[in-house]
Amino acid sequence: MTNMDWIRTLQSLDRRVIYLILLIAVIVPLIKPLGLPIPASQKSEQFFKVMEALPQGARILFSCDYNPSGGPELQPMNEAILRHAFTNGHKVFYLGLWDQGPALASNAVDKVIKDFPDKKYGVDYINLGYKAGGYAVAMNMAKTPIHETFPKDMRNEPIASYPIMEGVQDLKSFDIVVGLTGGNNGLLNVWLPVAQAMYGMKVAGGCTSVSAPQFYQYVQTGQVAGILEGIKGAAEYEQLLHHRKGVKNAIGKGCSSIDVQSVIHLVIMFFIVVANFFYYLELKRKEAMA
Amino acid sequence: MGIATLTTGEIVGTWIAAILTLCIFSFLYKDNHLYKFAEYLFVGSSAGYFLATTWQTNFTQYVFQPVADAFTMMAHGGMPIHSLGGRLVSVEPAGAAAILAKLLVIVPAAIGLMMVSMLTKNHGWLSRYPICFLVGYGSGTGIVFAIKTDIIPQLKGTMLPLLGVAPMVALQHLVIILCVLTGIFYFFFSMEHRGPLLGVGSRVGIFILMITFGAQFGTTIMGRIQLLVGRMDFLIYDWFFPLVLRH
Repeated sequence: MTNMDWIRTLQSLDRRVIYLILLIAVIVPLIKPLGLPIPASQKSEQFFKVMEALPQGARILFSCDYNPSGGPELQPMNEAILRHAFTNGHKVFYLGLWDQGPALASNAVDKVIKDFPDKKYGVDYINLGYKAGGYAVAMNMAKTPIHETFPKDMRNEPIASYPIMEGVQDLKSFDIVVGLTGGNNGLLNVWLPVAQAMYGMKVAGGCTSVSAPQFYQYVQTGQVAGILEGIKGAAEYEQLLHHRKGVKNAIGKGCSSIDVQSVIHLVIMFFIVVANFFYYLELKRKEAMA
Repeated sequence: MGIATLTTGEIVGTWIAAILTLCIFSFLYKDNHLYKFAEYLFVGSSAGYFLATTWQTNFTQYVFQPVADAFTMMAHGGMPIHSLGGRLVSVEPAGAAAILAKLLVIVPAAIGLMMVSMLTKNHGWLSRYPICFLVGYGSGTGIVFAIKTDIIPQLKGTMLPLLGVAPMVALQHLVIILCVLTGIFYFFFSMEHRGPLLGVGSRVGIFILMITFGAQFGTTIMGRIQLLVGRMDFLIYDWFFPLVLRH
């Protein structure tokens, strides 16, 4: 085959071959991790410091506003933040503005609680469940006692029966709002305007990689105290927990996924360079023929 | 996690999840009925879960419970207070005003139900009333939120000092100010984009916007890849190794 035949063959390559190459590029580093270093970025450090600065026994309102499609990026964050909170002795109040958020929070708790057997439901953490309405929920929490918005928790028990709810009046009783957001109706659209802008509360959280650029301006102005960006943020946060605080089993899915991310990005960059090179050769050939 | 630690429910659930994941992935080869089945099952179950959860946590609490409480109050002459074990402890006195306050939830519930009239042929006009409420409420809160979170704080965040700070910090501030201004110049259509200010400014603004979109696209790729990684991680470590290879 001549050189141009090779180029034409590669240009018309079935996309399923590319899918297969990507599949191999995902599977190999998953089974055989490369152990690439994960230095913490400035944003992950900032979020870590925000959590460290909370007083002992702080009340964290943890809003899980994502569904399983955001799970691969946000669930590792959820587990890491919960580990950090439990290590520092904070109280965690889960809720969700997305219907599947509280269930995913429950999954995170089930995984993390094995390393913290002394933590009890209703004493150290609680899951208030899902409530529809977006910022109407947050505004209601701010203006009325919390049991009017959440009379029962996810287990359908009255929240007043739990010791953790002692002293919790309304939204302003919490020391920080941490929101993991998979899209609209979360940190940016609800907790930032209500908790931070209207009541001056500290707001921090995590987001998917897709939404990360939207948060940069709010971090720059200080409106959002700290943000974890996608799986990279989760991996960096896990590293910080492991190295700075020695938290047990802090290294999780975040770190194991980052090796794969690096390999896949290299493969995609290779494809882009090669495809553009062949495109350039094709243009040159057409110019020569014209 | 070994197979010995899994319950029967977890094993069955993992197999179902793995099979459905592979059905979805079969689309990469070509469209087929297995993919369609998995897709429709996903859409249906998501909608069903959402309906059930919203009904239980919102409609029951905000509509059915207050109306039931109102009838209970009318029957007992007040609100019965029960202990956690269900034993009647006392009756809280409640007058007509309290009962009416509970029954008033029927009004917003009825307005909300008017939305369903959209599905009918001749009575769809009824849905305009709840839409009016939603648009009015959304605009009212949206305008306030936009001013409090987007306009004023972001304007403040762009008013950065160039003097009296370290040179690198001053350079960063200058870059931020120039990027914001040139980006805004691009969207200023009241004058033609000509001349050293608007012409050059809008050209630079285009580059700034392209860099922003490129960064956004890059993070989107990372997010999409992570969806694949998450599924492959599940298939390998939660299904294939423990349940197929029994490792």
